[in-house]
Amino acid sequence: MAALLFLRKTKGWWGWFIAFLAAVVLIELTATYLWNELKRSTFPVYNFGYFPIYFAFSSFLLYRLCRPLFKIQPWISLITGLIAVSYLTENIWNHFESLSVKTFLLANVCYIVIACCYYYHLLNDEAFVDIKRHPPFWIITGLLFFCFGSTANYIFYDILKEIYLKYNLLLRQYLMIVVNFLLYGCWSYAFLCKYREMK
Amino acid sequence: MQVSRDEIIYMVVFVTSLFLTAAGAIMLYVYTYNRRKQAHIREKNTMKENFKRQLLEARMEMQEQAFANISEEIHDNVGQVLSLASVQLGLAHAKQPDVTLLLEAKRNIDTALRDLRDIAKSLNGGFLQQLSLQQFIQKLQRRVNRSGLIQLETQTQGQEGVLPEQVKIIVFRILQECVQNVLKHAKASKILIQTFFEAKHFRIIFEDNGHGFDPEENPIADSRGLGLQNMQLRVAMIHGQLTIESTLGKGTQITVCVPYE
Repeated sequence: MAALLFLRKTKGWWGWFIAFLAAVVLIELTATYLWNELKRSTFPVYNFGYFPIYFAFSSFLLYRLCRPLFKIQPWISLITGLIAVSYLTENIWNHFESLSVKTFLLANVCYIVIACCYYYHLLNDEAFVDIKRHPPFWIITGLLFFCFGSTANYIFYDILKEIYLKYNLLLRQYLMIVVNFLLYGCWSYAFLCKYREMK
Repeated sequence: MQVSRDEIIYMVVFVTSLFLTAAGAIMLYVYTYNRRKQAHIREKNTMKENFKRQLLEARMEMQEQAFANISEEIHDNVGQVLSLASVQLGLAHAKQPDVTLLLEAKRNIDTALRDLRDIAKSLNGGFLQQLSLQQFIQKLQRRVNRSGLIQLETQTQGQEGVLPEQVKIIVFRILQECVQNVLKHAKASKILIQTFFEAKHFRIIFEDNGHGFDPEENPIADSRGLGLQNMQLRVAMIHGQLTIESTLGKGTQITVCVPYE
């Protein structure tokens, strides 16, 4: 909603947020339908739908936002290549039957490192930026919260799955709601900053 | 060892909270550091502004000093020499032409012309900036010695390199201020300016044999003190150091040390 409201008139790559978020909404709706109505596993939707889009868009975002501060192209190419190889290998290893948790963890660790590099270069930059009103800062911060939160969550993926099967407790989902709230909260604020910037 | 369901839940929630706190801490650190950076940039800009203002003030003061010198030169030298030449020519006109008197009058007019050329050079704004430190000190020496009030001697060690214009302006102004202070307050008969050009910095020692002052007293209270304070401020702006040593009855020594970079 925030993306639609604030980024409608933006020119350039910021408009890609609308497409990404629309894809995420579509994936979530499909997963809900599969789970609630058809009583089927949602793993293919997340593994083959959400993960590739998340990896591609996060890498693209980091590339776009870090590019003005430091030379990121070689690193992002390396990381994207690494994630792609890991994703394929893990899926082949699992016979395309379970979630690529290790690849997700690897990607998150890489994104955290890049986010920290972004902060480092932002602070070392000669020019002063008021980060309270700086959209790229809030985009990266949202991503950082998401990466940290979901990494903690996915480390315990097997245990949480077991808890769900044993006690029917959706702890992982609850924690992901909190993490997603932080991610989209930061992003919504970033969109608002971007909107104000354009006015 | 069996781990209970609650223990697992607590552990997962704790680890997730810990990770999220880490992300929050990073964000908070960036925010705090950025605010400090803002304060630092503000301070740097203020310092730059101050430096520009001080440089401008020094330039204006140098210009004023140059005008004062010109006025002095015209009054004391050119005016007197031309008056003398006029009297000599009057005498020559009244009497039979006397070759010696005419030659004397010509010499006086030549001297006046030379002085006028010097004045014309001083009026050229860029002239002082084109001078090297050594040339400036020699010029100062000539002017002070010609007044006959005080004897100025110079000593130099090492080879002068190319100094930035701002550094030269500030050092020239400090030397002028030192001479003014000695003439106004010190009652000295002799000034010695020693210049040492070393590998990474240059040092100027300015000393007089005047009555000095007691450093225990508050020198800031009078105009000389304000001048000294101003000199110290300006030397600091070119990353140099200025030290003043003075003993009552034994004169004053001012040392200026300025790095090349």
